Amino acid sequence: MIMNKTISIWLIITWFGLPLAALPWKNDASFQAEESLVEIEVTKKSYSYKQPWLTNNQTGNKNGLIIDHHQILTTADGLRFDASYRIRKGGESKRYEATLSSIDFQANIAILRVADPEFWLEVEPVIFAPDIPQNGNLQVYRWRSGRIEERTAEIVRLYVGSAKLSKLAHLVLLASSEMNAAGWSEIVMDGNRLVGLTTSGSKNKQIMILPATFIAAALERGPCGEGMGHGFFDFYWMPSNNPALLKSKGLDPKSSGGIIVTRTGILKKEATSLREGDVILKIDGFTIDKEGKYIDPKYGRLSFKGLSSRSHATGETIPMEIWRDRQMQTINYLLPRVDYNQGLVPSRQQDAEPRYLIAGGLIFQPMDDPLMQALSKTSSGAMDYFQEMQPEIGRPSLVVLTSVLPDDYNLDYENIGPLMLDCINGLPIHTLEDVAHAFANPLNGFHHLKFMDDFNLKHLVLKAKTLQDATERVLQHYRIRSASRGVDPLKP
Amino acid sequence: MLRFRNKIFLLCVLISSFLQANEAERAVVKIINFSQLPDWQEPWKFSQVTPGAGSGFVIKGNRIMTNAHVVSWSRQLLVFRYQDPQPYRASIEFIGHDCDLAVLKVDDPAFFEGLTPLEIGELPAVRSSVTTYGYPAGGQQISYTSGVISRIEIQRYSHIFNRHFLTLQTDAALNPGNSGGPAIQDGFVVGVSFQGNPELENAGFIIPPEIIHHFLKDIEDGYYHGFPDAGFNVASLHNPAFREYLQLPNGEGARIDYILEPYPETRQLIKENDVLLEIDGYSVGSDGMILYKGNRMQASVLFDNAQHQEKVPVKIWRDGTEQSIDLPVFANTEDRLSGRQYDTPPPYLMIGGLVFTELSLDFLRDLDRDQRSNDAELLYQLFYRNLQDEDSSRAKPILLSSKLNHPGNIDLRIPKRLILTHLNDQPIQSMQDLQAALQSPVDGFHLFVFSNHMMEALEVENADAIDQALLKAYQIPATCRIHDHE
Repeated sequence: MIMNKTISIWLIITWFGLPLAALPWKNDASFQAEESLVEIEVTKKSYSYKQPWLTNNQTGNKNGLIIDHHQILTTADGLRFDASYRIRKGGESKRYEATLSSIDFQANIAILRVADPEFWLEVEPVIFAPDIPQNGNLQVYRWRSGRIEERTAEIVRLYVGSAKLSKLAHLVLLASSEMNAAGWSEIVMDGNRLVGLTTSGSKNKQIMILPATFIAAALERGPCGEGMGHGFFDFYWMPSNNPALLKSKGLDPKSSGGIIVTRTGILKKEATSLREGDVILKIDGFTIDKEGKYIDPKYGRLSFKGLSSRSHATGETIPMEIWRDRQMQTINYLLPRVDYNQGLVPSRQQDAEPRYLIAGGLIFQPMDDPLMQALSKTSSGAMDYFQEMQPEIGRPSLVVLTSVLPDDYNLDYENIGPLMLDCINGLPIHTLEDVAHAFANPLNGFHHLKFMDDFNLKHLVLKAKTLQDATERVLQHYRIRSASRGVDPLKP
Repeated sequence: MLRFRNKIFLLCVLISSFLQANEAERAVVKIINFSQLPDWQEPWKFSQVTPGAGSGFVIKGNRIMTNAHVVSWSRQLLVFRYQDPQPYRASIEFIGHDCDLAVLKVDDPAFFEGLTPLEIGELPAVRSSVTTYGYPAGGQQISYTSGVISRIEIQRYSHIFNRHFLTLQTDAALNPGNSGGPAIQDGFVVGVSFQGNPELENAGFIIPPEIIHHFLKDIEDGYYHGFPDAGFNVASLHNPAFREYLQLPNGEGARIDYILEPYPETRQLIKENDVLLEIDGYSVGSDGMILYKGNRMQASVLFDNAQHQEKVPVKIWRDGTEQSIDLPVFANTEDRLSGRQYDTPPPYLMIGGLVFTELSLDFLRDLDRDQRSNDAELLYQLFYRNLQDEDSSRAKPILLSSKLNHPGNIDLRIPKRLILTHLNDQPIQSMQDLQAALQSPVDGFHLFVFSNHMMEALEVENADAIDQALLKAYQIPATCRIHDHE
C-alpha cells in the first residue's frame, strides 16, 4: 500500500512535474477570467429630485471580482444599501442572491457576499498586485452577454487624482483601451495579478483605474463611520513658482520650495493647525517642491495630495514643516473626518433618497449637489455661486423652495421657485427640520416666508389655520403619499 | 351735390396723405457709421474699423434722430439725404444708451435745405396701421413696410441690456438697417424702429413716442441724465391670505417686494410689503399693472414718464392705512457695469504685466460661452452685488483681465478672471482704490490677494521695469486708463 502511494506520487511528478515547475510563467499568461470575474445585477430605487416623492425602479449590471474570504469586490458607484443584488458567475444563466457587506463611497469600493455555498465552487480569488505598473500593457476583462470580453489597455500614466464619488485624493492609473463604455468595475489585470478596477471611461478611449494597492489599503482601513476612514487634506493651496512671493515672505526662492496655503477648513470648520499664507515645505518627511510635488520612493514625482491617503487614516496626524511669520515651524496636521453631508451645499451621494417637505403645496428641499444638478436650468446665479464657491454666508446650510403644486391656498405663488429660504415666521431656516418647526409657530395667524436676496420674490404669506387642510388636499390631488421624507420631527 | 362734395373732400385727403408721405420719406436719412469697438479683455486695444448702416429722420432744430446703437463707438459718421449721393459728415449731439436714442447734428446747413422735419405724435392704438421707413440691409433706396401695432408692453432694451421700457410690437417687416428709421401714422412719427427678436416671427419692435418725448425733454438742458427709476420691485398680490395679512380692504394694489440699492431716498420713504395703490393718479391692480391709454401695462411705465430727480405722487397702503408720498426718482448709474457700456473705453491698470480692469457685462460677453458659464463667482459679483447693501452696490469689482508674459513675471501662475480683493493690504473696490493702493507697496513688494484667497507678489522695481518693457513691446499707449465716472 505504501509502495502504491510512492508510485502514485512518482507518477504525478513524472507526468505533471514539468508543467508544475513552469507554473509561475504559465499563470501569468493564462489568467482564467471566468473563474474570478462575476456579473452583478443591481436592482435599486431611483429618485427624481424634481418630484422627490416619486420612487422609480432601476436595474443595471456591473462587474465584480472574487477575492479572498468569500468576498466579491466591486466599485461603490451605482450601489446602495437598500438595493437587491444577484450575481452570475462563469457566464451561466443562474443568478445567486447577494448582500452588500460594506460600501465605502469615499473610496468607491464595495464588498458583496453570497450565502449559497454552491456559488463558491469552482471560483478562484484574485491576487492583488503589490505595486502599480507604470508602463506596458494590461488586460481588461468584463462579462458581455455571457461571454468574457478581453481588451488590451496601454498604460498612459500614473497620477494623484480625485476619487469618482468624493474629493478623496489617491493614485489613479490612466490607460488607453478600445473597450467601449468602460467604467463599471471592469477588472484590469497584469498577468494573473489584479492591477485595479475601472471607475470611468471616456470618449477618447481612456479608462481610469482605481489601483489595487489603494483598494487593499482602503479595505484594511474601512470606510469612515465603520472604520477609520481615509485621510484628507482640508485646505486649498497654490504653487510657489513666483520667486517674489517667497521673497516677500522672507524665504530664499533659490533654496526654498513648498506650497502656499490659501484657505483652510473647507469641509470641516473646526480649528486647524494650518493658517492661510503658511508655506508647507515638508509633509510626512517628504520635501514638497514649488508645484506641490514630492518624490515617492516607489512611483516617483507625484502630487502631495496623495500623501493624505498614502499611509494615513482619518484622525491621524501628519507632521508638516511649515514657514510661518518668517520662521520655520513643525506642526502636526490632524487629518479630519470628512462628512460629505456637511457644508453649505453638501455633495451627498447622487442616488441618495431625496429629502423633502410639502406644506400647502410648497415643496421644500435641502440644497445639495444632486438637487442643484436637477435644477441646473432654473437655479439662480446666487445658487450656482453658493454651490461652486461654498462661501461663508453666516449659515451652515440652505433650504430651497423648489416649486409649488398649484392650489387655491397658494394662489399667486404657482410659478415661483427655486428660492432660497431666509426665514419663516422670523425663525432662520437652515434645515427641513427648521421649516417644520417654523410652521408650528405662526405669527398672528399667518406664516410669513422670507427668501434670500435673489432678484426674485422676497416675501410670501400663507394662512396658518388652513395650512394642514391645504397640505392634505394637495397630497390627495397630486397623489402624493407623504408630505415629507427624511424630516426628523424631534430635531429642532 | 353732397356726394360731389364728399368726393372732392376724399380726393383732398388722399392728395394730402400722399404729400405727407412724400414729405416723410424726404426726411428719412441713411446713416453710415464707421465704428471701432474696444477689447474688454485687453482694454488698450480696439477692433478694426467696420462700417455699419442704419436709418434716421430729421426732426425740428436741424437734428437727426436715430438709434443709439446705430451710432455707437463711432469714429466717423456719414449721412445721406433721400435720393442724394452726397455724403455729409455728422456728429452725435446727444445719446441715450438706456433708451437707444440719439440725435445727430450736421455741420453743413445745406443738408437740411428743403427738408421738413417730422413731428413726434402720440402712442398709437393697438391694431392701428403704421408704415416704417428706412434703409434696411444697407440698400441705396428707401424701403417702406406696413403693418399693425400688435402689442404695447414693457420689453428689455437690448442695446443697454439692463433696462426695460415701453415698446411697440409690429408685424411690419423690420430688418438690420431699419434701425433708427421712423414708424409713421397719419403723418406723425409714432415710433423709432430699433430691435427684433429671433425667437419670434413677423415681430419687430419700435420705440414709442413716450420714450422719444422723454429723451427730447431730458436733453433740453443740454445734458442727458437718463431714465429714472423708483428703485423697488413690485410683486403681484392676488393671494387672499397675503391681502388679509396686510389688512387690505379691497382687491386693488400690488406689493412692493424689495427695494434696490442704491436708492437711499426710496429706502427712507418706502418699506418692503407696502402696497402700491396709485401712481400719478393711475390705480394699480393686484397684478401690478395699470390701464394706460387703453392698454394694461406694468405700473413702472409711470416712473419712466418722470425726469431724473422729479417726484412722482404715489399712494401706498401701510399698517392698515393709506398714505400719500411724493417719491423722488433717480437715473441710476451705479449699475452701469451690469449693462452694456458705450462711449468710454474700459479702464485698466497694468502692474508688472498683470492687467486689471472692471468686471462688467461687456467683459463677460467677450468670453466664450464655456468660460462665461464657468464663472459663477463673476456672475454673482456682477449681478447680485446690487442686492446686498448700498456700499456693495456702489463697489466696482476689479479683476485680472489678462497677463502679458515677460521673463520677470513668467513664474506668476495666477489664473485670469480672478477678482482682486486686496492690493498692498488695502481693500480694492474700484479702479481708484487700485490706483491709490499702488502707491503704498509693502516692504518693496506689491502684494496681491484674490477672491479665492490666492496671493501673488511683485517687487516694485521689477514691476515697473516689466511694464516699461511691455509698453514698448506691445505698443501699449500707457500703463493705465482710469476714468472718473462719478
